[in-house]
Amino acid sequence: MKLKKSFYNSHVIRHDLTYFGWISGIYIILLLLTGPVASLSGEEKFAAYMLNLLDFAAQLHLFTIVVVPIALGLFQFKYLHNQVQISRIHSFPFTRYEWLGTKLITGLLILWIPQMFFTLFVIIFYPSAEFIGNQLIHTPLEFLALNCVYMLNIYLFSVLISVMSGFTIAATLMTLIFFSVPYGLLTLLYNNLEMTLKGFYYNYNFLDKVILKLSPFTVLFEFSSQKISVMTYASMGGFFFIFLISIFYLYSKRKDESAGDVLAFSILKPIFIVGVTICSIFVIGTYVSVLYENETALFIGYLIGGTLGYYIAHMIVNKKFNVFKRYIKGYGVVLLLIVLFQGILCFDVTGFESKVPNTDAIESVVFEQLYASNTEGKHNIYQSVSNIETIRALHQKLVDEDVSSKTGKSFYIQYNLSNGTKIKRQYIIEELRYKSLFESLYNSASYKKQTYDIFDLNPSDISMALIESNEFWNNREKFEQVADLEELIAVLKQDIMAATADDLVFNRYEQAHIIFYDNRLNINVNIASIEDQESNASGELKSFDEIDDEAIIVDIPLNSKFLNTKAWLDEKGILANIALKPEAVSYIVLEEVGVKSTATTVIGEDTKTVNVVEPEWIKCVLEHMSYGEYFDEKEPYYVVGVGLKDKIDGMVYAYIQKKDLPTEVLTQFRR
Amino acid sequence: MPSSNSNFIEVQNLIKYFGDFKVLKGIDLHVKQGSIYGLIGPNGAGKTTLIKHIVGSYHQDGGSVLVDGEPVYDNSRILKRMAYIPDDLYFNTTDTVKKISKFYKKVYPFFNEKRYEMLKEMFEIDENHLIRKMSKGMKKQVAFWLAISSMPDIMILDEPVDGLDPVTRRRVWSLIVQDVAERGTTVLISSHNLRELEDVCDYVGILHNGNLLIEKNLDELKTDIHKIQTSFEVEVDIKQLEDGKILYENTLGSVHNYIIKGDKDNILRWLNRYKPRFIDMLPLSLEEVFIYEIGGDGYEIKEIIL
Repeated sequence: MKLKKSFYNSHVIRHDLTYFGWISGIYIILLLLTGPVASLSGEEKFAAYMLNLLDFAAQLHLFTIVVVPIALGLFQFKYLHNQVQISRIHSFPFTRYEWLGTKLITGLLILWIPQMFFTLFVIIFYPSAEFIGNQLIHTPLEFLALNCVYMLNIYLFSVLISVMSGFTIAATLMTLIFFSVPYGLLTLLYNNLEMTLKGFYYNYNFLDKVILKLSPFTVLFEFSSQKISVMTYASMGGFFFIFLISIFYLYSKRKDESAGDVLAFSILKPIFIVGVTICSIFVIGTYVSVLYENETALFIGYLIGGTLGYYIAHMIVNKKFNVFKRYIKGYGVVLLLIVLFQGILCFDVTGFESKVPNTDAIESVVFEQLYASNTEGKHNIYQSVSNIETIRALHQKLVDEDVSSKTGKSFYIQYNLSNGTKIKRQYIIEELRYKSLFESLYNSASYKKQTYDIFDLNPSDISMALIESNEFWNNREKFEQVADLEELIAVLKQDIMAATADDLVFNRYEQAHIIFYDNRLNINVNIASIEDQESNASGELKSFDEIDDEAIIVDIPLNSKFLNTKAWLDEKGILANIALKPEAVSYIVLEEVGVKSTATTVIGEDTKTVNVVEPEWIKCVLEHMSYGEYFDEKEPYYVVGVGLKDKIDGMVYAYIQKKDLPTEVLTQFRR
Repeated sequence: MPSSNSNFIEVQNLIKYFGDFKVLKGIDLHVKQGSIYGLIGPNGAGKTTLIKHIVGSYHQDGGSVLVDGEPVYDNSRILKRMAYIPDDLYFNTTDTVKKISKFYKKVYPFFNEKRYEMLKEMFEIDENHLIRKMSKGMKKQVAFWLAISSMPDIMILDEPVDGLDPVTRRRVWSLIVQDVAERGTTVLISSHNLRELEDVCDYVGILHNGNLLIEKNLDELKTDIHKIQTSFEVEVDIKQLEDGKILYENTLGSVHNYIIKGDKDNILRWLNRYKPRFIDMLPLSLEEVFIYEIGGDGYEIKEIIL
């Protein structure tokens, strides 16, 4: 049955294909030439290369998937931007819907046919099942579907911009600008707020997991690196309908006489001007503040950005340069709004920066280093009053002291209030500056239990514990007996609970890693050293790195202060193989390197060194040496090189502070 | 004025704005079926804008544009019966006459192949030649060739003979008149070539500043304006003439020249009261009518001496 309202005309499809089919032709040639060009450029595995072209990991697709549909949209609807062409075309005997629908179907054919042809071509000529679906992120069919749907969306987007615009150059520019919205705009806004608003929480997760998928351009990164999520498919489907409905609606409302204007709808002019002005403010603000790193520079950047953005937008819309006097009032409003915006942030009019909730209103607090959590969605939540008060006190100090440090670590605070609201803040904090507060927190059982996953570990879930030495490269031991595993977990828990903040954080030194494996996965690790494996002619043994990461349940560092665990390991006769024991040390060389900021870690140059051979001193140095992450910049420190009795070459390196060295050793430095 | 019940094109109170500028200020235009209507006016009067409404390209901000009783905007039924030749022609870069004719055959249901072949002989243009490489005049001929082959009921022609040589002009005019005579085609022509328009038009509409000043049968229009040459014994104040509007006057010695709009008999009766030595009533060309009509509407002919 024929539809009463026709949305396409087959004659016009054929006619249109003769005009724009060349885009399809170029696209096919580009796809087909990629292989031979790569081959000429020295690509040896030609078949594998061709098969890899069936996925987004191939850079070519990231280019064509964007450029081809945009170019097609602009070429096909260029007639909308020319008075003569549009009048001629709309006086042909078709309704506007019929003409538009036909054009869109032609566009779809031009885009899809080359991709379908190419996919078929590769599958037919290179039918290597090993590659298809194994090494590629997407199956060829998924790739084809995704490619077609994405291209269709980009094409519709390009058409939508062409319909909204009356000027091809403007349409091209607007397509490129809108392409990164909302991700680009939100990133700019976040960057600027992070710079101006102390405590502003830069939610990367929200940007990367939600907004990234809503931006046509940025979602491409997901294509090339992972399987496409349901949300991405849903967002593409949503965009398809939004674009399609918008195109048909705007096309029916579009006036032919708008051809030649920058914007085809006068209602879009203020939106365009505001949009360009805001983008310009944030972009130039970001540039200037990155160069000069202060709020005054940012404010000046805003003013420059506002001026340029506002007047350039007017110049584009009016297609003339002389717009300064005519729009001076609007410019005044822009300046006023910038001053107001900056004023609100600087003087904390909203109370955002100074807001620290009362302890009795807080139900719990999330406090952790940003992005430090290994497990997705797992956060360190503190519910005890003492911990809440500690975090609150730290927050209050940050607010009161108004220190804008850029050298510490980023911490995230989230107050979960009893009334259901959440207050989220982010600060760069120098932990040493507030060491007593951090110590109080790190000493708490709550911190330890949430930081070390061993407290959630059920021994029956474990098939094996593998201990990998940090100090002796490639040395490892394993435990598979349930009784051993239970004992190991018990001593580790005991040590973690007994450890101080200094042991765990500020003066940390880890000698090995204890990795617990899931018993549901049949992991069998050969603990022979890599050298041994390499010398083994069979070559069937797996090297350590090839063990499935997904089988790991928990990875607990063997802290040098975990004396019970070390004793237990010693009892089992394996400690000497994986961690430094004082008895194994032949000597220690110490090098004075001054304060941390001027440190050099090269031993054996002009700086003064001392050899330590006394067993007692060796033991003392081994107990106190650490990674030196939290050394006080004003305190001198030393590089520690540990020489082993049974090893001629190779040393273990660490750092030690002056205060931790025996007096006798220091005396030797003075000689 | 044509009676409204037989109007094939009927424009009522048409208003159009370009931004804040009112281009068409409430135009009423009526074109009878099977007639040739000449739309004339100075540059910028709004002729092309009006035409673009009639061919369904522009949508009015007020009023209505009906063709054969139906609104023309976005109406493919009407557009199938219409041929439009704009002043600026548009062809794609790869177009040949043959290629476009194939497209026309598919989209214009009444396209007449026989006629197309016949006109091919007449225009003597290679149908395989790229149109973009043709001269302006040749492109115009191609447009005519295709338009007339599509057997339209309505032809809308914007400066149709502009760029054509005199022989081809004559050929084109005769094609138009022939089509009207044989098939009853309704034609609306906008042209500045009033001399040629005068020969073919049944009706004329004069557009000025977005208003249609006059819309009349050409013969009526010409009999309504009179060029009079006379001389009196006595001093005559021509401004006292009540039954006519003086569009132009000048005096050379004792001879007075007047262009007067009004009833011929009444004007003569009034002049005879002053016992003129002689009275000559001369016929006016369309060009003169146009000049004096729009001159009366404030479009003065400014003589510039360099």
